[in-house]
Amino acid sequence: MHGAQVVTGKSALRPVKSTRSSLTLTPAQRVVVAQHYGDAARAGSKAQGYRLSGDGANTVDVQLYNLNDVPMTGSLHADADNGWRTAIAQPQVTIPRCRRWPWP
Amino acid sequence: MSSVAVAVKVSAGPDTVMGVRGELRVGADFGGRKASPSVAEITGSSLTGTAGHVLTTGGKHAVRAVYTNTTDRPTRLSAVTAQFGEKRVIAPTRGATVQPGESLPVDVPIPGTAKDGTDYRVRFVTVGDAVHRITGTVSVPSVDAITRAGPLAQIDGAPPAASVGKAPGLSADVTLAWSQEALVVDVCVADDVQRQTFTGQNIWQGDSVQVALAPGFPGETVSAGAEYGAALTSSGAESVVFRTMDGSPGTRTAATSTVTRDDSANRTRYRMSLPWAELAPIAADQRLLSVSVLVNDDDGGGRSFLAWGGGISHAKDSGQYNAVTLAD
Repeated sequence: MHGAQVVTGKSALRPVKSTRSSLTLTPAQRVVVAQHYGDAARAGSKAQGYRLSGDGANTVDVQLYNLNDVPMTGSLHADADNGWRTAIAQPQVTIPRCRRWPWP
Repeated sequence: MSSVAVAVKVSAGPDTVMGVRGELRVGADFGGRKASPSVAEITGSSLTGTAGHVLTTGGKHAVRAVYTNTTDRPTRLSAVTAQFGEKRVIAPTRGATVQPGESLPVDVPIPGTAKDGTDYRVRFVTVGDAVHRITGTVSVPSVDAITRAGPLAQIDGAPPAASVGKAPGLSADVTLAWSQEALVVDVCVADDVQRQTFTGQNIWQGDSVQVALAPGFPGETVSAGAEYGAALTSSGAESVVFRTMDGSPGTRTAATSTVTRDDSANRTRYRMSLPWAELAPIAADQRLLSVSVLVNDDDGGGRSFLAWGGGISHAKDSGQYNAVTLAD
């Protein structure tokens, strides 16, 4: 301990209780969908949202992460409001199974 | 963990309004079971159209809608319409033809019903092409809430636009002027002790002046704009840019300043010249902008300040700047 600080009275920190979740995720819920945007789209995004060009097509990279230990095959879909049009050239996807870290 | 990447193409449709936030939702379905969707907020911006509050050459408030032909063939602009709240205004274009790569500005008068924070939507209608929509906000303060910047040639001897501070040891007069090249901010500070021991980005901690600028009138943009500083340092008059117009930390600036100290009169005069070329999207021909000035003072007991307008010393907020017009 550094210094001469002495803590008296009741701590503001409460002990952490161990909890057991009964939530069971479906295999589909073990697939994580994430959108990724480039630097230009991210500028000022916290205040205004990701910036897309209104003059041509924008490409949004979507990454699908599979946390299951079996391959997952399904389809991707996208939609947007404010009149934006979306298109996915190859909506059918197969994600390889999750590889376990090779522990020694 | 394994993953695959999929490209989603997103493009504006005929009803997409530029500048309006929307949501892009991406989901996946696996044998009838759904993955949690990914939702992101998106905003459109267009090179085809821009719009902003200006004063016309006749001194009237207007939204200047600029159509740029981004196609490779001439385009005929058949109409520009704007909706200000419930009021619809049509600006004549006389079927103007815009050549590829060229732009056509059209001033749409702001109706008298538009007050502080009136949202508007502008539509460019081009023959045989899509309708382009953009949106914005205009605020039209009362005349006595607007500060006038006169021609640069008349700055010496002009009455100050504002005076701040009444204490005998610290007060300041602020005068604004402009030319086709720059906005000039003149601050004459009555200060019994001149003290500046810092340089560069740290000058705000000693005797100095900070000036913040944003496009349009206060409340019309969410951007805090740019912020500059000037001080009389150990190496002479120094100009710095704390933040550029795109919100980036400042590095180099073309802004210049002269700072003179008259110890016998206890006065320090700062005259900052802020080039329009560095202030885009603000431009001299818009004839209006938002400005805030902070006068920093340190007599040896720490920094205090006087402010003309807000939005500098605490939160960076252009909504607290002053409305300024560029007068002839």
